[in-house]
Amino acid sequence: MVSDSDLQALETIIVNHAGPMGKFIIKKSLSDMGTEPNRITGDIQVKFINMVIERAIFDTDRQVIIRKEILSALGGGTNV
Amino acid sequence: MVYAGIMDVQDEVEKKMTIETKLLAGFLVVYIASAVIPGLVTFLIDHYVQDGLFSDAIIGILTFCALLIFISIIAHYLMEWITKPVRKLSKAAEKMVAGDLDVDLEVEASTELIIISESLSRMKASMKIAYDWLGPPEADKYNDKPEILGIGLNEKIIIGMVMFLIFNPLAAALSHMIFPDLILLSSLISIIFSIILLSLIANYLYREIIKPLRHVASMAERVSKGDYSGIEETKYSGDIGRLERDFNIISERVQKAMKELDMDG
Repeated sequence: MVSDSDLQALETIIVNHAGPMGKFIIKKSLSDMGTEPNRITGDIQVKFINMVIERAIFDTDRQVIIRKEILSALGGGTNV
Repeated sequence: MVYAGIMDVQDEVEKKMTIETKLLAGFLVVYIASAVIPGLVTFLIDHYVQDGLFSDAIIGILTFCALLIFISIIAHYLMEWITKPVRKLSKAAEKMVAGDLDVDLEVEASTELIIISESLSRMKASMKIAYDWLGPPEADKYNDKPEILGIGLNEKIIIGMVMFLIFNPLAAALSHMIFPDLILLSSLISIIFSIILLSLIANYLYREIIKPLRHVASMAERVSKGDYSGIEETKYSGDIGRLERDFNIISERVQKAMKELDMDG
């Protein structure tokens, strides 16, 4: 992560589940990470995805499903 | 690229009939019944009732009653398929506007209504996020939201059915009166009139039910994905108008919350 296409894929999934506020959540989470998107890799990437999911999705069961959906969209989870 | 979650919704939408198909199916059944039921009533009376027991007037009344009962059954199903889910979503949207986000948005309905239901679910999630960050909204101008009046969906379906029930046999009777000896010609004119009548009713239902629902579904889908260009003043009346109004209010609230959060940094 986090290329423009990865961010776009993440935004598509989050907005699909959390509506337009999903865009804000991603923007805010990126800003809270305090680093450039292209530096979000490895553990930081997992932390970033978790932060987005926890802020956007309140139901813990759905968080698990959506995490899987995001990981499979971002290269089947291999680069996470 | 299409992701799993989105695929599920798309699959569900593709499996469902559109409002147009349901209305068309309902009216087609009514059209066929209006041709079959009079013949069936006459056949039953000829075969099972003593000769001369029923006058022509009574046979006419019986036929009308049979048609009325049949049409009422079809109208009931159309209302169950169309009006009930629209009202369920409309009530849920009204609750959301009032600040209650504990609403059930699941509907077993047509394509357009599933799209509206999905869009409302996204907006509900967005409102929850907004409340989480900003707290519940203060009273806003929408606490006194404009009243939307107008004919309800049920009434519109009934108007369509009644128009058909009254004018179709009237046309047949008129064409037989004008050309009493030319059965073929009078039947042809009667069929042509039925088709014109069906087209007029279809046009009425399209303007009053299908077009507004499609408009609301398309606007709701765009807005719930963050494209606010679709928000307009409430255009429609009745049940669909109320749903449109409440969706607009929800959208404006989410948009306002996003602006506030952006300003807060």
